[in-house]
Amino acid sequence: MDSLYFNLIIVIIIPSIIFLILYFSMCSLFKIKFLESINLSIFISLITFIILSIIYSNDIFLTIISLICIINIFYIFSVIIYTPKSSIRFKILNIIYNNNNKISYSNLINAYNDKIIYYKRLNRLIDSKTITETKKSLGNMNLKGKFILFIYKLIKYFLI
Amino acid sequence: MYNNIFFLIIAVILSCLLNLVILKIYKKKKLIIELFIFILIFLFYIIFININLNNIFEIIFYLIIYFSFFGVYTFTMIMGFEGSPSLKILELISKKKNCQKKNLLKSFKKELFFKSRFQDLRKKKYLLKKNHKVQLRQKSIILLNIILFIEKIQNSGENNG
Repeated sequence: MDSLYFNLIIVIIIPSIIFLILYFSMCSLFKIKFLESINLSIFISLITFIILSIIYSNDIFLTIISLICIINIFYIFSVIIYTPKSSIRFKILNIIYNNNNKISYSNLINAYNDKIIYYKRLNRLIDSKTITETKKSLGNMNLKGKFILFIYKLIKYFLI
Repeated sequence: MYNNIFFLIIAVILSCLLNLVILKIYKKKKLIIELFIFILIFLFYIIFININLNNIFEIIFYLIIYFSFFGVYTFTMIMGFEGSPSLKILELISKKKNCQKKNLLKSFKKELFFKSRFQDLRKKKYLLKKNHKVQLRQKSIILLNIILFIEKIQNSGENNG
């Protein structure tokens, strides 16, 4: 029985490592965009997980639990990788760092402010097809956007 | 074995609920408190299922599953607790159908994302504001160097933030 759990740990750990190696190689060696690298890495890692599960696990219930666990791990890695890219705090620190570690507040606010944040994020949402843009207005939100918004509203409901 | 997994799921739900209650009462999100609650409930769980401590791989397996949920909980709650510019845009679009970019910007600007993050960095002593000049403190330089190294590996451009 103990060897089954050892096998399951391996089945979880190996695809997680493969995910990280694949993601960083795709970004640095093949210059693939963030979202595409993440999606492709998840896809290949999941295939690895399935193959390893077939070889090493003979319990379907524990395999499903491991699958949920590995999806959690992919989510955590993706958030950690994405944080420096999207974080406003890191961007502020980065601007100061690039200006020889000293900048006037007015220059900082000229270089980065709510308007810049707005357009960056809006374009990112349009690029990722989370929202669509017509000539006149901003329109439909896709299913992913609706789902994220639902989770966000749910959390806000719990917190307020 | 299946009972252990069932009780593990109960332990995850219990940890999340307890953290939510604390978050609702104190209105402050502290990673160390969240981690402490998760660890505490996991220890209770190990005692409750009365597992033989020699089954080390079984315990590690449960530990990995349990803490994968901790990661999901803590990262998802940051989103709801701090708010995000992208989520704000999605929220505004869902409220105002067929709105224009410029009109949406007016509502977006009410949130003061830059100012709140800047104040937070000052409060946590990552930067220093003196005579209208802003300067990094030593701990942010170390942190930035680590992040910039990761960014370099990822080959990401200047379009962050």
